[in-house]
Amino acid sequence: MDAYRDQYAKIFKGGKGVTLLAISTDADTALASWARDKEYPFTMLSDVGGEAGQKYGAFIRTPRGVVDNRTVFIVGADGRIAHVMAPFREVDATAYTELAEAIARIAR
Amino acid sequence: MHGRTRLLALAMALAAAPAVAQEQGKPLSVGVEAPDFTLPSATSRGLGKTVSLSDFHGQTVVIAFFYRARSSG
Repeated sequence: MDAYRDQYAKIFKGGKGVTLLAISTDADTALASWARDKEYPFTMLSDVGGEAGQKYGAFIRTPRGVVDNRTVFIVGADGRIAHVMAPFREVDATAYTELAEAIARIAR
Repeated sequence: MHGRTRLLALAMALAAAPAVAQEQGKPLSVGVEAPDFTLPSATSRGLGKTVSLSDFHGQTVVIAFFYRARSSG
């Protein structure tokens, strides 16, 4: 998530014309405290139970329950999925380059 | 083998087996209509209202699923 924050202006045009929604199965309180500590400039959504992750096929079922799996979807203005990065390689700098290029292409 | 003994043998075999592989979802593909969702939101300013994907109709939205708060991914 730090990379999203640090490259927010570059990748997400500072949030102009493109919205980032970061989703996990954590409680909203856990996400809020993390966002506050890290000063994340984007919205996080609490998918307790993993229902949204399962709708998108972005989940792992573990013995302890469902967790959302690191996957990025870009939804275009027409409401359709325009780009998928699965798995999203959070620690790989080239993943952010690909993401930035895809956003630049899709969010016109 | 007696039925109950057989059941016990099966239970022991299962207990000794390596952990069952985790089931992983198959991500939706390009071109598919993005399913709507409505979820509680949080920002650096605290808890927010619920947010739906449909709130952003006509805009580009990047949905980034991740494992866990306070993890690298």
